[in-house]
Amino acid sequence: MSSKVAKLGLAAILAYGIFDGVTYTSFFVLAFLGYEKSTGKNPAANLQALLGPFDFACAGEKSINRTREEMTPSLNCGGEIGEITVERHTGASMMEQLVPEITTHALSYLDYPSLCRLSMTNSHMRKAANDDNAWKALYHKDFTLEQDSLTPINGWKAYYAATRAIVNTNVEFFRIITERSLPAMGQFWLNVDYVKCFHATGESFTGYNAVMESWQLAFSWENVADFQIRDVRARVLTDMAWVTMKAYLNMETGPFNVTNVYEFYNGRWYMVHHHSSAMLIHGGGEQQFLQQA
Amino acid sequence: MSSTEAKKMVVLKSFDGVTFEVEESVAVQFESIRHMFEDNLAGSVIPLSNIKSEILSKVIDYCKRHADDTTDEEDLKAFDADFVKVEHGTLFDIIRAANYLNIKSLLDLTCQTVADMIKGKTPAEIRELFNISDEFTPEEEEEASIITRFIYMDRYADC
Repeated sequence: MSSKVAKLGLAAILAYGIFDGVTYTSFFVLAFLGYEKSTGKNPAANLQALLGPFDFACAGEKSINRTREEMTPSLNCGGEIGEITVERHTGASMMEQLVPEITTHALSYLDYPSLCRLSMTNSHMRKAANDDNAWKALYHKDFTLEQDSLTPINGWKAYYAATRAIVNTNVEFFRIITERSLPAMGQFWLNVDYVKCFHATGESFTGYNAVMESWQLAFSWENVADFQIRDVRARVLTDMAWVTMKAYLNMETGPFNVTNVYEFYNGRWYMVHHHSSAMLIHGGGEQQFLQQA
Repeated sequence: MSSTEAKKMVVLKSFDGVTFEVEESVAVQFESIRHMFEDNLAGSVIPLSNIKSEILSKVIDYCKRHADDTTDEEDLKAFDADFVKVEHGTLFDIIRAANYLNIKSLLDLTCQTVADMIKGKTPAEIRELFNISDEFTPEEEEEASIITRFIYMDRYADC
């Protein structure tokens, strides 16, 4: 029984509209846990039966919403505690009385977890927090000012989530290199004959097996520790994404220009192309180079 | 500073009938009514029918302080920080007034304040903070309840 529920639940979370792609971040686990107070009082009868404890059941009284009360006729906490709570919550929300433009303006100062949490408070705030402009502003703040003229098909929130997902995937790539984990690298690439890998050494490889052999060799040689990734720019289409960046090493080999290309396949992103080339510095030190960068 | 006589004054009247005489240099910050006293209407009373006197006096205080060139930036920051330390009801009234009068810096300040309050809080805490109800559409409820079931699953696995 519980495993069935587990599958159902997982499927639901995966299908949770816009949150796909970012579901896995720890924030969401926390946020969903935070959600329990509110959803604990859902009219779902079996859930009420499960929850039992007074505070959750009684939380239904907090709601001054009529619809809600009609939906939960059997839920009757009564008593002093209930009344006090009601009193404290009397009056419409100041937040909801603001005109939409001001709400949007206020929300433009929020960060990404806060916007998500706000969208979980109620239907009205969910609409406000899903405002396209708010997410576009956040995209510009968190990722890049580029791609300003885009009109993402599914809106900026979806594009924000997709970008965050691909940027996280890209970070994973560097973690795998740092840990020199060949099995993880094997999982990371799409197992097809057309994948290509251009190493910074100048060597290039085509096809999954050749690319994996090249990584095996690279992992046995290279003495790589910490990468610093800068200027990450991601462009995401429905099932394809490319990411460009500058990778700085904490050794003396100097920085690299890196381009990674990913394809979305069976529900996740796979690397299909990696190109790394050293940035050439002629007669100048790191200083000059950094200025150029 | 020039003498008081030389200053053009504008009279503003709040929703509850209280009048405020304000220097034009302060009132020009009220973008939305600027034209009213610039169009030779100086001297006449400008009614602000949806701003309470308590809020209007705060807004005027703010604009006075910001119109004063002699205030240094640090003091102004401290003033701003103090200015928004008010009850939520008052804060939202100021937001509405700032929006109505189109005072951008005040709107930015107060909206930033609201955003700062939301940051780092759980949905339940945000609801509590702003007195937001927890109304969702049936579709949204359904999503939420499935997720809740998933979350509670571990705890109530034997039920």
